[in-house]
Amino acid sequence: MEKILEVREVTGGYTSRPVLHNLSFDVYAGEMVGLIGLNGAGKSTTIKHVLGLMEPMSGSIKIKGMRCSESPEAYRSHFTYIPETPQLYEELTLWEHLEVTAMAYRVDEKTFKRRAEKLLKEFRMEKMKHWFPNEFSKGMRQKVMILCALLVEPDLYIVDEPFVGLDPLAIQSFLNWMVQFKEQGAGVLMSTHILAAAEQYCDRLIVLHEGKIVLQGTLPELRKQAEMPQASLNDIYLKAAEGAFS
Amino acid sequence: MDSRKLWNARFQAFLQLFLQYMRLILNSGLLFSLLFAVVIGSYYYSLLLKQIPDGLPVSLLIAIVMTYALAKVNVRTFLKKADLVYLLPAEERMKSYFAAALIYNASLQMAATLLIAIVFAPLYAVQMDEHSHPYAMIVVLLMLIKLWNVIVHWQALKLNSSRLVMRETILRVFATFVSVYLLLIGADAQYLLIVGGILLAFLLYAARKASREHLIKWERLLDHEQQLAARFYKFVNAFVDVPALTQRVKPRKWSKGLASFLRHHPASVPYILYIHAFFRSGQYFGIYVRLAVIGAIVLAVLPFQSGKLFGAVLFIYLTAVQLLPLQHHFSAREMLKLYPIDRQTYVQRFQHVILTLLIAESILFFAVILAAGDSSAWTAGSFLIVNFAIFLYVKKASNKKVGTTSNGL
Repeated sequence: MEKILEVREVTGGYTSRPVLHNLSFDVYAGEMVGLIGLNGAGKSTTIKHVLGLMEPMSGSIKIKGMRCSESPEAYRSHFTYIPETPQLYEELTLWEHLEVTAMAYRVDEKTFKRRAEKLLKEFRMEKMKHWFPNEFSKGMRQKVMILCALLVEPDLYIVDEPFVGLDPLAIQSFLNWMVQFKEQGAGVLMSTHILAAAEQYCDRLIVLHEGKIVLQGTLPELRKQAEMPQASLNDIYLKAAEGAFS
Repeated sequence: MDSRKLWNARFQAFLQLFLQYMRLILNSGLLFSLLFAVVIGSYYYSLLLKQIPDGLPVSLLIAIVMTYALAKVNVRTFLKKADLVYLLPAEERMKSYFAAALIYNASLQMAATLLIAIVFAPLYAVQMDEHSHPYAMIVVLLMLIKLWNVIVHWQALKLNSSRLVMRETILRVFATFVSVYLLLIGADAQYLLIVGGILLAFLLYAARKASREHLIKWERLLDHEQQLAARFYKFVNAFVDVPALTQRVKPRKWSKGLASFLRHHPASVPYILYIHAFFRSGQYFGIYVRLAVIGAIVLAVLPFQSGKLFGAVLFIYLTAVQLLPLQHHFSAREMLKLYPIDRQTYVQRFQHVILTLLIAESILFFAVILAAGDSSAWTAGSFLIVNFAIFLYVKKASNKKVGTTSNGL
């Protein structure tokens, strides 16, 4: 399988004092990797580094073998991002958000319209096509972000806590699309607190604690590393959160 | 909890912010040009006064403008969004907070009334006769009418629907106009007393009714507060960069029509964003139109060639300064930085948009100058040169910011 994202020995943070310590992990084509950990464990900071919004102090991050600093445009054309808090342009309608995203990522007009109509229908947002963000609820705003990200069909999806505010039907739709794209060969890096979803959908899991990766692998591998043979992800997570593996 | 203390803290915080911004504004050159415009304006005002034809209904004109100034009531409460959660349960104890807010707003707006009244003094003097009341008395009464407007409007803000608030506003405008007009035409004291009595009775009735039947409408107050704060920041933004603010969006259909001409291509993305932000955000388009219209009128009225030229340059420069913040309108949006689009493209596209707008404005101004009968080559030439200088300034200002803020957005 092709390696899409490669994070090697990354140390980084906001000031000279690092928040992330020596992180190494990969995301391959056709897999979903879950990033879990307590608030403040470093999930969002990790994602910011991958996005190229923060530069690592040491180590390297490559997407399809390329660093962000080599060519930011080429690097960023390979992924879309669903942020934890929806960020919308207040002056643009839902449809215009989709259109701008399609243009930015070079999705041609015909493909864009076909995909957009399908997505709007699936997420039951057809009626709100020409609404402005100030008319949207929190969940709808999150849906706009998801629609924009799914529309592009990139090689890699970077998803930060996507379930907050979504109704159960939307969560299911979102996960179904993720599975579908994954099967078509996309990689997914998803940070979440919803362990049930992580356990069920992620092929591999990365457990962060205080900026370090304490466990990483498939669920059976995590059980082995944690020496908890019968444990659920929830048990392992709670143990990790106590600092048992660091 | 002492809500008066809370008010003091909020007010102090605002005052500090205000003074900080004022210092920045005083340091910028724009204030100087505004001051200059005021001086020139007052010169032409005095010329205008000498040419007023006899039949002109001066009292009526003053009354209309004064009515607008008096009936337009703004209530700044310095409420914050989180207050809806934390202070809502304490509504009973917030009385002294809102009383302080009312005093603050009333005194500020009464001072503004005084200022406007002073501006109108020479105009009033032009048509004074033996029936007219002394202007000092009129000024005091105008300030009282302002106070009446503030208090009555404050009670109305507690009403349930915005339709009821609207009805109250119409009533208030009507009452204000009648009182001001009677004052200005020198109506007899007994009429003034009757009107004053009615106003006072209405005020007492509204206050009694509001305090008995209605609670404070927090969301409406917060909404007003945010709009007024946004306006203040918008003003400040003309001089210094203010972090992005929540704004009211207007759907404006033609913005969509304009954007639909663009090619489906990554390079169009900045155009789309800037065009929609310009038309819909309520920050730029309104100011642009106002400056263009006022500028055109001023140019048509100014008598001298050099005056026209100076006016045109001043208005184009002011427009440029007002439009420059558009470049950073979306700077808080992370998504934008993630698009696989070159930063330089944004800068270029922004320059195209702002220069197109400025060129359109200068064509309008030039047309006005020509239509006013000034077609000398000298004017045209210097107009072009100055325009060119402003365009260079805009280019430099929009490029400069690439280095100072991240990503140049």
